[in-house]
Amino acid sequence: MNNILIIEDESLTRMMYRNFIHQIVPQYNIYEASNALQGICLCFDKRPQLILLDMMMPMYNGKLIIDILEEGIQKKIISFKPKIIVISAIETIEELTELTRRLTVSAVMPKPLPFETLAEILKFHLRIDINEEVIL
Amino acid sequence: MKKQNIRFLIVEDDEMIRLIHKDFLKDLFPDAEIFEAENGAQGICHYFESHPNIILLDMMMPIMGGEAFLDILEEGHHCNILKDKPKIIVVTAIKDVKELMSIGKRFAVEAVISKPLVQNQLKSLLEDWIS
Repeated sequence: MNNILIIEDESLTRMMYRNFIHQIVPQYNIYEASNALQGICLCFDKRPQLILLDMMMPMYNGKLIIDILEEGIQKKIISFKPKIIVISAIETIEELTELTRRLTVSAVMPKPLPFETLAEILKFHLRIDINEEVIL
Repeated sequence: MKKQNIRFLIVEDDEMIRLIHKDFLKDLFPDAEIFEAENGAQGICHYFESHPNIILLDMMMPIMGGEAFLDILEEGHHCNILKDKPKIIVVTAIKDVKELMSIGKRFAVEAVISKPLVQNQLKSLLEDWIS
Protein backbone atom coordinates (compact mmCIF):
# COMPACT_ATOMS: atom_id res chain seq x y z
CA MET A 1 0.00 0.00 0.00
CA ASN A 2 1.36 3.40 -0.95
CA ASN A 3 0.69 5.15 2.33
CA ILE A 4 2.70 7.64 4.34
CA LEU A 5 1.73 8.65 7.86
CA ILE A 6 2.68 11.94 9.52
CA ILE A 7 2.54 11.98 13.33
CA GLU A 8 3.06 15.53 14.55
CA ASP A 9 1.15 17.68 17.02
CA GLU A 10 1.63 21.04 15.28
CA SER A 11 -0.89 21.48 12.50
CA LEU A 12 1.28 23.95 10.56
CA THR A 13 4.22 21.55 10.53
CA ARG A 14 1.91 18.71 9.46
CA MET A 15 0.58 20.80 6.59
CA MET A 16 4.10 21.70 5.53
CA TYR A 17 5.17 18.02 5.51
CA ARG A 18 2.03 17.08 3.60
CA ASN A 19 2.68 19.66 0.90
CA PHE A 20 6.33 18.65 0.66
CA ILE A 21 5.54 14.95 0.42
CA HIS A 22 2.83 15.52 -2.12
CA GLN A 23 5.26 17.40 -4.36
CA ILE A 24 7.92 14.70 -4.10
CA VAL A 25 5.81 11.52 -4.29
CA PRO A 26 2.31 12.48 -5.49
CA GLN A 27 1.36 8.80 -5.95
CA TYR A 28 1.38 8.22 -2.17
CA ASN A 29 -1.64 8.66 0.09
CA ILE A 30 -0.80 10.87 3.05
CA TYR A 31 -2.45 10.43 6.45
CA GLU A 32 -2.06 12.72 9.44
CA ALA A 33 -2.24 12.13 13.18
CA SER A 34 -2.08 14.96 15.68
CA ASN A 35 -1.02 12.80 18.63
CA ALA A 36 0.63 9.47 19.40
CA LEU A 37 -2.65 7.65 20.16
CA GLN A 38 -4.20 8.59 16.82
CA GLY A 39 -0.89 7.71 15.21
CA ILE A 40 -1.07 4.15 16.57
CA CYS A 41 -4.64 3.67 15.35
CA LEU A 42 -3.88 5.05 11.87
CA CYS A 43 -0.70 3.01 11.67
CA PHE A 44 -2.64 -0.25 12.10
CA ASP A 45 -5.50 0.95 9.92
CA LYS A 46 -3.43 2.20 6.96
CA ARG A 47 -0.22 0.14 7.35
CA PRO A 48 2.02 2.89 5.99
CA GLN A 49 5.34 2.14 4.33
CA LEU A 50 6.84 5.21 5.94
CA ILE A 51 6.09 7.19 9.10
CA LEU A 52 7.35 10.69 9.83
CA LEU A 53 7.38 10.80 13.62
CA ASP A 54 7.77 13.75 15.93
CA MET A 55 9.21 12.64 19.28
CA MET A 56 8.07 15.51 21.44
CA MET A 57 4.30 15.54 21.73
CA PRO A 58 2.00 16.27 24.67
CA MET A 59 0.56 13.35 26.69
CA TYR A 60 2.27 10.47 24.92
CA ASN A 61 5.45 11.01 22.95
CA GLY A 62 6.80 9.25 19.88
CA LYS A 63 8.44 6.53 21.97
CA LEU A 64 5.05 4.88 22.52
CA ILE A 65 4.72 4.19 18.80
CA ILE A 66 8.25 2.82 18.51
CA ASP A 67 7.67 0.59 21.57
CA ILE A 68 4.43 -0.85 20.24
CA LEU A 69 5.69 -1.54 16.72
CA GLU A 70 8.91 -3.05 18.03
CA GLU A 71 7.05 -5.43 20.38
CA GLY A 72 4.65 -6.38 17.60
CA ILE A 73 7.42 -7.09 15.10
CA GLN A 74 9.75 -8.92 17.52
CA LYS A 75 6.96 -11.19 18.77
CA LYS A 76 5.72 -11.64 15.19
CA ILE A 77 2.26 -10.38 16.08
CA ILE A 78 2.15 -7.91 13.20
CA SER A 79 3.08 -8.63 9.62
CA PHE A 80 3.93 -5.15 8.40
CA LYS A 81 7.08 -3.18 9.16
CA PRO A 82 6.93 0.53 8.50
CA LYS A 83 10.10 2.58 8.26
CA ILE A 84 10.11 5.30 10.87
CA ILE A 85 11.83 8.60 10.20
CA VAL A 86 12.14 10.40 13.53
CA ILE A 87 12.10 14.16 13.12
CA SER A 88 13.11 15.76 16.34
CA ALA A 89 15.21 18.36 18.05
CA ILE A 90 17.42 15.79 19.78
CA GLU A 91 19.16 17.21 22.83
CA THR A 92 21.88 14.67 23.65
CA ILE A 93 24.09 12.11 21.94
CA GLU A 94 22.72 9.39 24.26
CA GLU A 95 19.21 10.11 23.07
CA LEU A 96 20.28 10.00 19.43
CA THR A 97 22.22 6.73 19.88
CA GLU A 98 19.35 5.12 21.72
CA LEU A 99 16.90 6.09 18.97
CA THR A 100 19.05 4.89 16.08
CA ARG A 101 19.42 1.49 17.79
CA ARG A 102 15.69 0.90 17.68
CA LEU A 103 14.49 -1.76 15.29
CA THR A 104 11.96 0.25 13.33
CA VAL A 105 13.80 3.58 13.23
CA SER A 106 15.39 4.09 9.80
CA ALA A 107 16.66 7.62 10.33
CA VAL A 108 16.75 10.44 12.84
CA MET A 109 16.48 13.92 11.35
CA PRO A 110 16.85 17.38 12.84
CA LYS A 111 13.91 19.66 13.32
CA PRO A 112 13.15 21.94 11.50
CA LEU A 113 13.64 19.68 8.52
CA PRO A 114 14.69 21.33 5.24
CA PHE A 115 12.71 20.42 2.14
CA GLU A 116 15.79 19.05 0.33
CA THR A 117 16.54 16.66 3.20
CA LEU A 118 13.00 15.34 3.27
CA ALA A 119 13.10 14.86 -0.49
CA GLU A 120 16.30 12.82 -0.19
CA ILE A 121 14.89 10.71 2.66
CA LEU A 122 11.73 9.90 0.75
CA LYS A 123 13.55 9.05 -2.45
CA PHE A 124 16.11 6.91 -0.62
CA HIS A 125 13.73 4.94 1.60
CA LEU A 126 10.88 4.52 -0.81
CA ARG A 127 13.16 3.52 -3.69
CA ILE A 128 14.69 0.78 -1.54
CA ASP A 129 11.21 -0.58 -1.02
CA ILE A 130 10.51 -0.61 -4.72
CA ASN A 131 13.82 -2.38 -5.47
CA GLU A 132 13.09 -5.02 -2.84
CA GLU A 133 9.76 -5.72 -4.46
CA VAL A 134 11.40 -6.10 -7.84
CA ILE A 135 13.97 -8.56 -6.42
CA LEU A 136 11.25 -10.66 -4.72
CA MET B 1 -21.93 -13.38 21.08
CA LYS B 2 -21.67 -16.95 19.88
CA LYS B 3 -19.52 -19.53 21.61
CA GLN B 4 -18.06 -20.84 18.36
CA ASN B 5 -16.29 -17.76 17.09
CA ILE B 6 -15.28 -16.04 20.26
CA ARG B 7 -11.81 -14.51 20.51
CA PHE B 8 -10.22 -13.65 23.83
CA LEU B 9 -7.17 -11.50 24.47
CA ILE B 10 -5.31 -11.75 27.78
CA VAL B 11 -3.03 -8.77 28.50
CA GLU B 12 -1.06 -9.59 31.62
CA ASP B 13 2.66 -9.50 32.45
CA ASP B 14 2.59 -12.23 35.11
CA GLU B 15 3.01 -15.56 33.33
CA MET B 16 1.27 -17.55 36.10
CA ILE B 17 -1.81 -15.36 36.01
CA ARG B 18 -1.89 -15.55 32.20
CA LEU B 19 -1.85 -19.31 32.45
CA ILE B 20 -4.63 -19.34 35.06
CA HIS B 21 -6.77 -17.05 32.88
CA LYS B 22 -6.10 -19.19 29.85
CA ASP B 23 -6.95 -22.51 31.51
CA PHE B 24 -10.08 -21.01 32.98
CA LEU B 25 -11.26 -19.66 29.61
CA LYS B 26 -10.39 -22.90 27.82
CA ASP B 27 -12.47 -24.89 30.30
CA LEU B 28 -15.45 -22.63 29.84
CA PHE B 29 -15.14 -22.12 26.09
CA PRO B 30 -13.11 -24.92 24.48
CA ASP B 31 -13.65 -23.60 20.94
CA ALA B 32 -12.54 -20.06 21.67
CA GLU B 33 -9.40 -18.54 20.25
CA ILE B 34 -7.14 -17.12 22.96
CA PHE B 35 -4.38 -14.57 22.33
CA GLU B 36 -1.82 -13.66 24.98
CA ALA B 37 0.18 -10.48 25.48
CA GLU B 38 2.88 -9.78 28.06
CA ASN B 39 2.37 -6.04 28.04
CA GLY B 40 0.13 -3.32 26.66
CA ALA B 41 2.23 -2.86 23.53
CA GLN B 42 1.85 -6.51 22.50
CA GLY B 43 -1.79 -6.26 23.54
CA ILE B 44 -2.47 -3.36 21.16
CA CYS B 45 -0.84 -5.26 18.30
CA HIS B 46 -3.02 -8.31 18.99
CA TYR B 47 -6.07 -6.12 19.29
CA PHE B 48 -5.62 -4.56 15.85
CA GLU B 49 -4.49 -7.79 14.18
CA SER B 50 -7.05 -10.22 15.60
CA HIS B 51 -9.99 -8.10 16.79
CA PRO B 52 -10.77 -10.03 19.98
CA ASN B 53 -14.33 -9.78 21.32
CA ILE B 54 -13.35 -9.91 24.97
CA ILE B 55 -10.17 -8.55 26.54
CA LEU B 56 -8.86 -9.29 30.04
CA LEU B 57 -6.66 -6.31 30.83
CA ASP B 58 -4.14 -5.82 33.61
CA MET B 59 -3.37 -2.18 34.45
CA MET B 60 0.20 -2.25 35.72
CA MET B 61 2.68 -3.70 33.24
CA PRO B 62 6.18 -2.84 31.99
CA ILE B 63 6.77 -1.14 28.58
CA MET B 64 3.12 -0.13 28.32
CA GLY B 65 0.37 -0.41 30.91
CA GLY B 66 -3.40 -0.75 30.72
CA GLU B 67 -3.95 3.01 30.92
CA ALA B 68 -2.24 3.64 27.57
CA PHE B 69 -4.10 0.65 26.09
CA LEU B 70 -7.43 2.22 27.05
CA ASP B 71 -6.27 5.66 25.85
CA ILE B 72 -5.45 4.29 22.39
CA LEU B 73 -8.82 2.56 22.03
CA GLU B 74 -10.63 5.65 23.26
CA GLU B 75 -8.84 7.94 20.79
CA GLY B 76 -9.41 5.49 17.93
CA HIS B 77 -13.11 5.36 18.74
CA HIS B 78 -13.27 9.15 19.03
CA CYS B 79 -11.68 9.60 15.57
CA ASN B 80 -13.81 6.84 13.99
CA ILE B 81 -10.78 4.72 13.17
CA LEU B 82 -11.91 1.76 15.32
CA LYS B 83 -14.51 -0.37 13.62
CA ASP B 84 -15.48 -2.55 16.55
CA LYS B 85 -16.02 -2.19 20.27
CA PRO B 86 -14.62 -5.05 22.32
CA LYS B 87 -15.76 -5.84 25.85
CA ILE B 88 -12.94 -5.12 28.25
CA ILE B 89 -12.69 -6.64 31.70
CA VAL B 90 -10.04 -4.87 33.74
CA VAL B 91 -8.41 -7.23 36.22
CA THR B 92 -6.41 -5.16 38.65
CA ALA B 93 -4.72 -5.08 42.02
CA ILE B 94 -5.62 -1.38 42.37
CA LYS B 95 -7.50 -0.82 45.60
CA ASP B 96 -8.17 2.92 45.42
CA VAL B 97 -11.93 3.34 44.96
CA LYS B 98 -11.72 6.59 42.98
CA GLU B 99 -9.21 5.09 40.62
CA LEU B 100 -11.35 1.98 40.16
CA MET B 101 -14.42 4.13 39.46
CA SER B 102 -12.60 6.14 36.81
CA ILE B 103 -11.36 2.98 35.10
CA GLY B 104 -14.93 1.66 35.09
CA LYS B 105 -16.10 4.70 33.11
CA ARG B 106 -13.58 4.27 30.30
CA PHE B 107 -14.57 3.37 26.74
CA ALA B 108 -15.36 -0.33 26.26
CA VAL B 109 -14.67 -1.20 29.91
CA GLU B 110 -17.56 -3.42 30.98
CA ALA B 111 -16.27 -4.56 34.34
CA VAL B 112 -13.47 -4.07 36.82
CA ILE B 113 -12.51 -7.13 38.82
CA SER B 114 -9.98 -7.07 41.62
CA LYS B 115 -6.94 -9.31 41.79
CA PRO B 116 -6.51 -12.06 42.87
CA LEU B 117 -9.20 -12.94 40.37
CA VAL B 118 -12.43 -14.28 41.69
CA GLN B 119 -13.26 -16.71 38.95
CA ASN B 120 -16.95 -16.98 39.81
CA GLN B 121 -17.34 -13.27 39.08
CA LEU B 122 -15.67 -13.65 35.74
CA LYS B 123 -17.67 -16.77 34.91
CA SER B 124 -21.04 -15.18 35.53
CA LEU B 125 -20.05 -12.13 33.45
CA LEU B 126 -18.94 -14.22 30.49
CA GLU B 127 -21.98 -16.47 30.65
CA ASP B 128 -24.19 -13.40 30.42
CA TRP B 129 -22.52 -12.33 27.19
CA ILE B 130 -21.86 -15.61 25.45
CA SER B 131 -24.47 -18.12 24.39
